Amino acid sequence: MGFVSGALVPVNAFIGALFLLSTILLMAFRQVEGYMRYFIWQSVLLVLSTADLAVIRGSPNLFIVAVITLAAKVIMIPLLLRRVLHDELRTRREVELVINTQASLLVALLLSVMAYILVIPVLPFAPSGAAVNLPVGLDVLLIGMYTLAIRREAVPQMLALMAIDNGVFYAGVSITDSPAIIELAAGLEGVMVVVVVTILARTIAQHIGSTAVGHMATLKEGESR
Amino acid sequence: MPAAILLNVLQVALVLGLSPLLRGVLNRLVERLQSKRGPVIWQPYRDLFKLWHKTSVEHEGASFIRRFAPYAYFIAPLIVTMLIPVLTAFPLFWAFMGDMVAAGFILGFGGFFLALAAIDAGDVYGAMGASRTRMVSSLAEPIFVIVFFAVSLTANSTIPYVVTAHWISSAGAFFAPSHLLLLAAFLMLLLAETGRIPVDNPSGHFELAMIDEARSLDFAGRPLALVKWGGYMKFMVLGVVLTNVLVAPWGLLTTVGPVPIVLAVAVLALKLLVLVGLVAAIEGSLAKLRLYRIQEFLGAAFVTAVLALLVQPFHQ
Amino acid sequence: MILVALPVTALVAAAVAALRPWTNLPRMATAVAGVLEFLITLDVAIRVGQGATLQVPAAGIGVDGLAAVLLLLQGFVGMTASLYSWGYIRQLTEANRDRERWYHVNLNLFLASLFVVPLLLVPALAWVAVELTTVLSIFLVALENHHAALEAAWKYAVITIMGATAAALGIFLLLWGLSMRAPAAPQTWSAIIAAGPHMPAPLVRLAFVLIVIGFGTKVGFVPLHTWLPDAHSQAPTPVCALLSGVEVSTALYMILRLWPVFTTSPGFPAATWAIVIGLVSVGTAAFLLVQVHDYKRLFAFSTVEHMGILLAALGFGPLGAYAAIYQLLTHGLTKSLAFYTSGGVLIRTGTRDISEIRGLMQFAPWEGWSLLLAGLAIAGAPPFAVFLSEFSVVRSAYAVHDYWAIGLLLGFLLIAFLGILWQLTKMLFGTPHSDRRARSPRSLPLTVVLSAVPVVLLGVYLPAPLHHLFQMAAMNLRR
Repeated sequence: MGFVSGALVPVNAFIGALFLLSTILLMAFRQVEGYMRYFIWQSVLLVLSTADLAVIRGSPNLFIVAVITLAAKVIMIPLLLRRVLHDELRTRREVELVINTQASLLVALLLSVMAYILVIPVLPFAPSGAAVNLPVGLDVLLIGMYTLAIRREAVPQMLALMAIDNGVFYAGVSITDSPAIIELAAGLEGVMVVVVVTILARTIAQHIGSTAVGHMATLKEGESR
Repeated sequence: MPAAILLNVLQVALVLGLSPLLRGVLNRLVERLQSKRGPVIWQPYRDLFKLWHKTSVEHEGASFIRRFAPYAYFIAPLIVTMLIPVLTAFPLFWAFMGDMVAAGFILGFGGFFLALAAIDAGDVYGAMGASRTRMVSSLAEPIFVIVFFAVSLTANSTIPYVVTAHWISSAGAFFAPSHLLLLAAFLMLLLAETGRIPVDNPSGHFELAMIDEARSLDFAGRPLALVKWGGYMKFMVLGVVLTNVLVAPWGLLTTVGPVPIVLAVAVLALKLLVLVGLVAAIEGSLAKLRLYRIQEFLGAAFVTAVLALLVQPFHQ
Repeated sequence: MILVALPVTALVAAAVAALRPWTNLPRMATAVAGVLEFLITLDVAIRVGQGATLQVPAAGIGVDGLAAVLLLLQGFVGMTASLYSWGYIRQLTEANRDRERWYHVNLNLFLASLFVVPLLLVPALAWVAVELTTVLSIFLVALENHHAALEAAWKYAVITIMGATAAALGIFLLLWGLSMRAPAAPQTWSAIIAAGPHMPAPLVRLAFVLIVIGFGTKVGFVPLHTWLPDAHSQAPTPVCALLSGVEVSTALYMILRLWPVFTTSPGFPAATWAIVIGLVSVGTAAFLLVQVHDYKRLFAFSTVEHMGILLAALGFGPLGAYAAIYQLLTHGLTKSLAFYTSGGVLIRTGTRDISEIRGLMQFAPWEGWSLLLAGLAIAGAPPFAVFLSEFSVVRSAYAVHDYWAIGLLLGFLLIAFLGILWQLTKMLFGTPHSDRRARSPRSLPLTVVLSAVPVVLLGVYLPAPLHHLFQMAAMNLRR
């Protein structure tokens, strides 16, 4: 490992901290615009970390991954969201929460502890960088799932979904070196998910008049309708 | 030895003399960001001067605490100044008398007496402000403790001088994720403890919404000047802890001499200026939180601090 | 190359359906492509059964026993669903030609994505394909655009995409394990399975959790099943049949593929976990079956039950692996039949509510009889296919002396059996509330009869080539 890559490992760790922080902010924030902002931050950090790891490993594949992620997550997805959901994004400011932020923060804390506990036995095998990326990625996955569960609005749910995706790829780039074709497919697929889910959210808004998907509960067992 | 004495005096004098200027710059900047002209940066000095020469009125039946508290509040940051590296990278006399926890407690001591004094006046707003500052402080204290735990895990010490030396020992230590998370948590604490937006609005004049300022509503004349000055110094001391101990421990004195001292003062001023700019930017972009949202803000700081603690052992 | 022809046929059909020279073209394209695809899958299955190796490692595609069974199932249900759509969707969209056309385009794209999954040798790409099946079926679920359908589509999209994303991390972990063992190896299923026993045990364990939770969400294991009854009941009937009969199996295929990695990892009790998760699903579904109010949800819960049986079967040794494959096929065939008959009932009565339908036998004998038949078949009564496959699951449990599992399984099966029949009996007998005379499209009975053929046939007789194919597939579940 050369001198440059020696300095890049701590930089990657630094990015990891910011990545985790942006996820927690994403979870704790109340405004749709804020979600968007933190999601973009998070994606930028994912790109930076990927590029950093690419230099450390000297892997051209990871560079391509970084470029694809940049194009898909930082540019296309936010653009799409702003295009398709302009009104909803503007009008939906305060978002009703199922669980208050303080409790959520504590849950996020517990999830972080859990992520580390899950990952500790694997870490001895980890390549450079993965010691940060793997637990943080898993943590973001867990926090993202939790965020998805406590949101009632369509757009925040979707952004939580994409945050989970970011977490998975954040962990993934540190441990695998997949051929670029896979990453391209995954990137395109991510964009497709957003397109489809966004259109679905818009359809819901048009037909039902609100995007409070968390309040949709007509389908259930038990008492007769 | 004389040099050390001189440096110690200089450090205290700097905090005493520059803290109103720091506040003046901050006020000016905040107003500028709001497209207003803002007061001149010397305004805090004028305020202090004016108040100093006014007569003080005291409530009937107020106890000695009313007289004692402003001094306690004024002295506390000055004592802390002697514990932390304001100018020097090498420890001075008092460096090992107390660590950062002690510094926190000393600042807390001043705040405690001020709160007592506010209640002592028997005025509604004073008591309300006192109770609110207690609420914020009681929420902030565990975070302080956890921040210091995380620091001690990283640097194996909570003595500010040792911590300072640790961060610059290697790039790995400086860029450690826990370091970054610590900084974020501490910045949030600094805002909460010094009554800045989003916890408190320092430029608000509406008593019902006040937190920090409400404690000094009943003071007048010289005691008020002391309380205000103490507040300025507290901000500066916490800022110095953030900049010199936690973020950027560069540019501190390693050799004694007139030129290095001037240089060190300049670097300190620059760092504090950056901090002030950051605080002003935060004030410009955020709104004051409702009282019960403060818990969320501090909750976020708490989580950040605990995360710093959590991730520390894995990235040595 | 015959393998590539499969998704290409579906894509061509989608492209043709997107044109608009005359109104019957979209549904004709779907029907023709459906039949063609079935013939191709049949051909592939026969060739694989005869021992031909249909693999092009350079292109990353290939079919072995397990993939061939899934393809066969996809081909058959794809065909019947395409034929069923002929009249059903015309009626459903009420001659809104644009929506009908759009449905056919989307359906063919969905089918293409389904076919791609078993063809791929590279797990990461197969994961992308599984995600695509979700993405491409969302609008099929939401086709009717009313409140309930949109709600179901939203839950379906968000929950299953979340699950699949978690599974991606599991796959990444296994790829990592592979690269530790053989850095330059191609990242294929077989390479991962070969490297499985040498991977660090904690890594495999973490990957197991993520993959079973991740794809298990899409399969509908309890407690991750919450979206399933919604989506599988609100979608238009042919889509229900595809979702419940095929798509669920396709997601399960991903778990099945990686199963040898988990069983061969030293010290990891994968079999026990399979039995536990499987039985929890079977039990929960059995009790939920009893209290549904919607007969399409009834069948959806039956899917959860069947998937649980299938997973439990994986824990019962080599015989269990065979039984699991058997169950995979019979479930798909029978469940699609059940949904087709329920579609007929829906058109006839105009309601999904069990309590609003009485005396179906009297006023609609054709729908009534077919529903009874399908209900018996799906509940696992002899002489239908599911009975034999469930029987072989129990027999495999007996072979490994897992009497606790047998007891629980039989108990739950009995509850589910009674639950389904009790619910259906309420609809079938008694005095009719109404005498609605909505006519079903003529293509409906045809499709029902067509899809009933294998259900009855496999109940009395398992052809030797199919048996052989099952054995090959079961071999893929072991090392």
